[in-house]
Amino acid sequence: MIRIIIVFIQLIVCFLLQSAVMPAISLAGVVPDLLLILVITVAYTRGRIPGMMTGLFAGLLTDAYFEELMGFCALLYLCIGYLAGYSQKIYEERDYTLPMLMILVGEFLYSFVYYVAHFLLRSRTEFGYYFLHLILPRMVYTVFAAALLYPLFHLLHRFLLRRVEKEE
Amino acid sequence: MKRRRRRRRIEFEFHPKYLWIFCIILCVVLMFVSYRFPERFSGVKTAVGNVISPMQRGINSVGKSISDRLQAFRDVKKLRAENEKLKSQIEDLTSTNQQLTQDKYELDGLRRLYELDAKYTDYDKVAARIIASDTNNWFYNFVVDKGSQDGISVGMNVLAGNGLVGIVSETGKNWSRIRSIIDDNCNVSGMSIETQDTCIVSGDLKMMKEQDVIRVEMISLDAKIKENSEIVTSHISDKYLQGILIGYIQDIEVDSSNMTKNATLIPAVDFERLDEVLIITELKEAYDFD
Repeated sequence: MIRIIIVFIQLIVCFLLQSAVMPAISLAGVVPDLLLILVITVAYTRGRIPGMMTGLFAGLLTDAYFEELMGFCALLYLCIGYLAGYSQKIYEERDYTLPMLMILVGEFLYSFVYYVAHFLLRSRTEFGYYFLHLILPRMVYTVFAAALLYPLFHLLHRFLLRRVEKEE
Repeated sequence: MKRRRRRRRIEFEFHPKYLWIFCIILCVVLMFVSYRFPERFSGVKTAVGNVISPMQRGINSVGKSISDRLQAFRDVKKLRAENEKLKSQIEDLTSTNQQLTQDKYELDGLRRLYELDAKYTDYDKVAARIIASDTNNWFYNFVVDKGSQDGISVGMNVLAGNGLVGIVSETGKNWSRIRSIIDDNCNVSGMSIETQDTCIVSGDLKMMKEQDVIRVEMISLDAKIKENSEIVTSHISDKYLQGILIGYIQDIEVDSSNMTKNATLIPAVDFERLDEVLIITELKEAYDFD
């Protein structure tokens, strides 16, 4: 229970940072996707169900606040959380490469599907341009942010896990 | 300890796939419902906004102070050079200013004659501060800290300086979301101030990123529109009040269809450094098509 509340607080904080603070320090016109970092971290450390639930709520929050269409970002984050959750089976405490790699791939998938749905379908076909100027910078920036945030989230996860185990 | 963990995992083993499929269906239904009946979700959206936006307002000041400090370092060099330039400009300007004040008296008189006093400077406006911007980088939406309790409603025009920023697309108690004119989804009906030729100004992410311009379409072939002429919102627009400056037109060329002319437009507003905006609390009276 306490872990769910903590994840929820993390979600709100990430969303606030991403929407209110990050635009002020954006590089190349993009902000890092902190929500995705959180989703992947939860999925990697705790499995499919927590991962996809975090994804669902992260997406719904974004949808309710910024999108016309409810449920689209939720669907994207949900699937990313679910797929990333498979990696929990090979979860390794000191492995930092795998989550980074998943964040990189996850961000690409997210941006790519978003591009297809919102741009390609309106016949904005220059994928190469959008990839180079939006998707790639965002991927790089997100991974950069993840290098700082992931250890933090991971530490919190370890701390909570130890507490829960002690109680049991 | 180990046994416990294993047990928990086995418990979950049955669920994930079904739960996943259930959630996917839920999302698809949500998308469908919100597409067909957008007003159904306005309550939820407003509630979320009401909770989140005060927090954003608080945290926004933190982000602002960070960026201000970074900006200060960057600016010092630029400012010195600029200062020199500006000093020499001031001298130029004071002499022109004198001349212009004289002209202004004349202009005021002429305006009164032509009853052109009702320019958009006379509309009632509410100042608002930007507290959040779109978390996906594909569209130019942002949220400001004034909402329905300050008299703002959907469809109101938004200015910054003297140029058009966009339109209020959604509003809550103490926040409202603004869709800017450079948004890839946005179309504004425009008009050349000199020749009265109408056109459609539409946002374009790629052009905005590359050259800080947006697209102008549907200029008629025989239009006498000239480069650098001012484009304002037109009288036929049903959302935008007439005569608000959008920007300056450039690179006019004939469309490949040979039916119309296209051009690009430099927005009058600097969207990179947008901080405070003015919302005109007056709606364009549109003909109700229903």
